[in-house]
Amino acid sequence: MLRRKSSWALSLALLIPCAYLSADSGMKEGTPDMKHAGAMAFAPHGVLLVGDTVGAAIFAIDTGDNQAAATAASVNIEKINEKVAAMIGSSAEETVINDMVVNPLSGNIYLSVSRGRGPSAAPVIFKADAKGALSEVSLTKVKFSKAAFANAPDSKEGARNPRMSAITDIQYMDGKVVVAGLSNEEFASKLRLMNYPFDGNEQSTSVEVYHGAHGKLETASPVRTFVTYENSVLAAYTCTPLVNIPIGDLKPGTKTQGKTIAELGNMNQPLDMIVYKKGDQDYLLMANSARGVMKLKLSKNDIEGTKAITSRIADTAGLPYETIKDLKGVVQLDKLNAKQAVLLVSNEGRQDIRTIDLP
Amino acid sequence: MSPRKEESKPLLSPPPFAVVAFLLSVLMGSIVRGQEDRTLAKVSTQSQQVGTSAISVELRETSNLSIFAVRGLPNVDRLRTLDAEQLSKLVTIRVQPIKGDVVLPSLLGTFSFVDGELLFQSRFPLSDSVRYQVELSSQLDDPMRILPSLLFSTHPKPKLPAASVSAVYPSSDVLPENLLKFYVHFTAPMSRGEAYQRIHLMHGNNEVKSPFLALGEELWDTEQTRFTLFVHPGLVKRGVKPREDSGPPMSSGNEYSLRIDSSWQSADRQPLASTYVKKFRVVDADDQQPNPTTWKIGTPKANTTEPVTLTFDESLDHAMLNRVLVVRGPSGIRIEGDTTVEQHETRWSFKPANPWKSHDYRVEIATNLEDLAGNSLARPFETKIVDESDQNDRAKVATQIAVDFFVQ
Repeated sequence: MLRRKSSWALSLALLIPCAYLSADSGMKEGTPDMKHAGAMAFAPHGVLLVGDTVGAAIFAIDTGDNQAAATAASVNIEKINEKVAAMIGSSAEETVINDMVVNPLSGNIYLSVSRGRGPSAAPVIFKADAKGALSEVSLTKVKFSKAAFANAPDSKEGARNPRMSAITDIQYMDGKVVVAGLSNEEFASKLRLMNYPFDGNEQSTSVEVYHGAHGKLETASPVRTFVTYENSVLAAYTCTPLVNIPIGDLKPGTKTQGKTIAELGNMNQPLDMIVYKKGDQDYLLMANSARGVMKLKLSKNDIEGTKAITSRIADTAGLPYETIKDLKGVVQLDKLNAKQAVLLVSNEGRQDIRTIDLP
Repeated sequence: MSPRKEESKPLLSPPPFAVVAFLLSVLMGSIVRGQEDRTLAKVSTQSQQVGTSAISVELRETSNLSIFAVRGLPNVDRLRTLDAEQLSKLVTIRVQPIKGDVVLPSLLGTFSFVDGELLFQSRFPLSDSVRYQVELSSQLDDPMRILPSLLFSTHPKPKLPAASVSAVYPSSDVLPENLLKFYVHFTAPMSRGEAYQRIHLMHGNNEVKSPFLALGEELWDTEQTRFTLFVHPGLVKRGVKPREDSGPPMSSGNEYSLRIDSSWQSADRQPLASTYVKKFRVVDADDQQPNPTTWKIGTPKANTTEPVTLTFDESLDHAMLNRVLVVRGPSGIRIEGDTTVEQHETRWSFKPANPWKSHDYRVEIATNLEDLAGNSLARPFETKIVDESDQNDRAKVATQIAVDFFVQ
């Protein structure tokens, strides 16, 4: 998911290579053969990137939603899962919201949805505007491009592909799409880097990321969610450390070593993260499955100065964090504007979209 | 509300069928993504009169199209001038709320007029998990009269026989303490979203708390008949906080069971036929990589389709044994055939589609092939970092190895 960076200098640097690109660079008009709409992110010019775990591909869709919002507005939609389900003619139990992102240009909220829970579930994408009005984002006769995974499962078994790579997070960064994934067979840590606009011949590359911590033992645990910050990737791993990896180290075909800068605790999975700025201070806000929403102060100096966690872990090892007590059940979050974040909050089968001031 | 009258006509008589088929094909051509519908012969209709007015609503369905047709509308020519939003205020079709006080948004779909009928094609075929209500504005008829809403349901899909667990891998009942994953195979496609509530690791009568990596993106194959269950890597890895706090989920010398609840629903929302329990004993952790020098190859004879076999000194990953070994013949041509994994995943065998010739062959094995604890041919699950050069050496590990054999 795209998180606008707090460093505008960095953002400008990232946007310069794309300044000459139009929204539809490398796109053609048609109907994407999307089998699943999962993790999403925004590229420049209102282009929505959608991860298709089932089809083993990333789609880039020109939403045409590229005008700045007139005014920043709080968006609150109660029972969003029931409303979305009703629009697609189904029940909330048979409808799954997979991801939520904000278009940084317009402030509109996008939801990727599965209609159904079986293998033939249909992908649907919704948009909620500043007034909370919901509409379907058409996937018929749209400008789009597609990047299939370079090592997608071979098709010798026909339609049945036992091996899949679940796409856990996507981010656009500096002319590249970065994809974190998790195989349903081998235990591997891979960040895929694809050029954007996609260059057609599937020149995606994979980078294995090791984190050297834990008493000098290293493993290749998969990345669960990540953001970019100050020329590095901050990745939360399935084994729950937060790891810093310099972007310069992410070279195709190599293995690189990240630094564990925080441990996030037991019985827990990181779900989603954003980076934001308040005053002169940068923060990381992270939603977790069991440990609520955590807030960490970030600075390049802190990250570089933090000693990598390489020994037995105390509860406060690494960068300190606080848990935001008021926020419970947050499963997705994104920055709505400079001062607000939008949350997808889940509670006993009910899901709401809520806007909060950035803490 | 008018009494509900439903009539189902699986096969229409030729003239009306031709009309409906024509209408549907026109609609499909313009609305449905250019897909040809081969199920038109199964058009079914349900028709209801709106109170005492001349208006009636008919639901016409094929397996992938649902169309509500409003007939007998007065002033159709005026209605034709209205846009979709205006029409949706006169004819509103929505899911019937479970609780009466909630106003749900109307169904996504498209309006059109054909031969004096107002047609609404829903964006998706109707679901049998909800009922649908058609509300007609009084402005359509006599403004003094309140028109009742009509309720429709799609025909329930025929249920398949209840699914069951067909296998769990590793199949052995002796497993290492640092076991990394299970594969659960089902006889029919399953439903996403409830896996981690339905699978339990039991130690006697006590459930081990949160032993698995619970991911929103549940790890299924494309058919949703195989589920991959990772043990939480933070509990398997030494030195990370979850394991420091809780210890490993399984410890050597103890007996455990993996319990799969029958309440787990299949894709067509039926529970499993029965609860499945896999009992096993846990032995010491396996920190060693698989060692191909200990493997034994069984060579077939020429002009037969006997299998070539590889026998390992430990169980390897069931899914990867089925995927990452390739047999090649002269000039590197890939040999087609069937793979079998047996003897608790300690034996791989490959039966060619055509008889072997008297030639050199080889089995290529990707080095990402893992044992039960995630140690692959390329690297152990946990590696001790010695220095940077050590790191670089590991980056150079080959992506595959080969076992050559000669058929005579």
